[in-house]
Amino acid sequence: MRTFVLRRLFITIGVVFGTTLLVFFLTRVMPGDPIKTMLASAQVADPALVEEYRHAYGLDQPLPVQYLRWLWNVMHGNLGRSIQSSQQVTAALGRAFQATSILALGGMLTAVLAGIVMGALGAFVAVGRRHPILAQVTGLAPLILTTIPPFSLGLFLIILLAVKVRLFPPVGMYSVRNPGAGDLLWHLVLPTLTMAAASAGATARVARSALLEVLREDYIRTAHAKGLHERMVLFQHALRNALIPVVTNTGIMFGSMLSGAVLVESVFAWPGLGKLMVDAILRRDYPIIEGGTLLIALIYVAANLLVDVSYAFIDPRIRYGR
Amino acid sequence: MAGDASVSGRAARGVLRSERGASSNRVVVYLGENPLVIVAIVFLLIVVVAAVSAPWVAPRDPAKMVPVDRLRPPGTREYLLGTDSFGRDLLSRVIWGGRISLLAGVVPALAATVIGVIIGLVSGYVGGRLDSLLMGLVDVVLAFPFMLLAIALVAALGPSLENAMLAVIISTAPARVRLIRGVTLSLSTMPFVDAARALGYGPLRILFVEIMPNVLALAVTMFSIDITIMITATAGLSFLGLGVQPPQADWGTMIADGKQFLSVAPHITIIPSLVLTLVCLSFGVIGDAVQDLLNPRALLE
Repeated sequence: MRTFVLRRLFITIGVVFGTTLLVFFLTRVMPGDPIKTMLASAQVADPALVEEYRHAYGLDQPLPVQYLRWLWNVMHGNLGRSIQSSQQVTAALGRAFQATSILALGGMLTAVLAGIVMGALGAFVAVGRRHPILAQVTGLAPLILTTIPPFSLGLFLIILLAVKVRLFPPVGMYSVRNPGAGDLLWHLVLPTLTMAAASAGATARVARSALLEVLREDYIRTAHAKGLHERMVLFQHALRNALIPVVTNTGIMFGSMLSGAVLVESVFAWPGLGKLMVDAILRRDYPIIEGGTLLIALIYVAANLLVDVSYAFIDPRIRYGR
Repeated sequence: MAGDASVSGRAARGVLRSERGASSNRVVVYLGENPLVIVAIVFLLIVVVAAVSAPWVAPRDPAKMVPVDRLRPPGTREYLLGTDSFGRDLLSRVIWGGRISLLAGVVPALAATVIGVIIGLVSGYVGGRLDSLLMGLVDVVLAFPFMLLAIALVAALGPSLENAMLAVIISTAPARVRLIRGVTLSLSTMPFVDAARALGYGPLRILFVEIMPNVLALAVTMFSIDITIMITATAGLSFLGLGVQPPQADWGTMIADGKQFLSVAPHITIIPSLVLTLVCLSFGVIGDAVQDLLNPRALLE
């Protein structure tokens, strides 16, 4: 077990730095210039000034030197300053990470709860064979949730629940007038639902097929045979065992959450990591792109590592040898 | 598929071929039990036919701006689905946009599948250094949310439909490579591969004639499920302004166009969103059906 974790850790470090290296050189071959973009937004186009800024950000150095310098600074916890807004990259990433985490955690919680309920309902209806129409609906609902494009769903929700019925604010994270925890929750509802949809559908499908599989097991028949109440069998015996694949699925979900965040944050003008990165890529803000890449790769890889390790803990049959 | 282990891959396919009559019956029974699949197929056929015959079916020029008629609601006699903020006919734009959006789903899905099968097969069968190198590259790509990677690639290549599709292919293919490679790895240890080797078959023949037919069910399932993912991803790039450039428009750009008019003219957003959603759902329903019928899960376990 320990050698497995250590080996994975080594590979992981390699992957993270491979990613930063790839993105570093990818951003440098992009057409467009961060300094000129920044100065253009301030309506200045002085070649001498461009050179001065270029020197200040170290962009006049050869590429390998720039990368090694960046690595050196990373080791010292310094990710540099944004070219566009000149704020510390660590500060900008910290704020955006917080916003995305709130959204992703809300989305995961909603997705897991809604997914398990939907999946359980779907499995029980399918086993009961008494409600053919309900069975079709519970089979279709998860598919609708997983296939609906997140931006379409987000805009449907905005039109329905923020424009037609003014229940929730359409965009943003805080109101200008009374920002607070309640206000944040209010703003969180629609983007959370949008974020949760696809994962809720996926969870429901995993839960449904896991439950159907468990319900075929011998111990379920035994439970029935010894006269246990139907509900007791379903919730005490079946659901508990069916939850194992659902739990492992949540780790994988986290990654797709980050991918979904890019579109959801754009629809709801949510000041998170996805929006920060998209804006930075469009404005060629190298320090933000590089710092963000490092952070996202770390989150991603950590989530994957957690999933792999948790497999071994949850299912003792899995052993990672060699 | 697991039963193939005892016989040669080719003999197994012979058995499959003779069972084809029975399997077409199975499809009919399945469709009878799942009428929704038929609805999805019919709906997609209508959308595809409309998109292909856009020049004859679309009532108007999709790019023609009629400022006097801007923001007309649906149901107007001249404009069945209303007009957008430039007075362009939404029905015509949805039909023409379908050409791009459908293409943007099918082409990347096909490309990712072909890349996944070929590289996955070679990497899994050859193994060794090549496999380590390829899987290292796959790991690097997978260490990043695919949507963000696609955005970065489009930014590097310049926004256009072709580059958006290319970016989606590059950022999604590695996961498919990994999947096929894993299956190939376990297939390579099966007796029918040893038998083929003992018969003196060359590696190319073993790989593409003996092993490949066994991963095809998985590949077809992967492809049918991927179409939805690819349509959404490319439409998403267009939605962010990184895909199709004006005057061309796919459903993603149309949805983005309507974003500023959500309270005045929500139909500009709702109509392309609804069509996109229904198309994605239909492909999803068909993907599920393909998965049920081909059952590649047996291969994965």
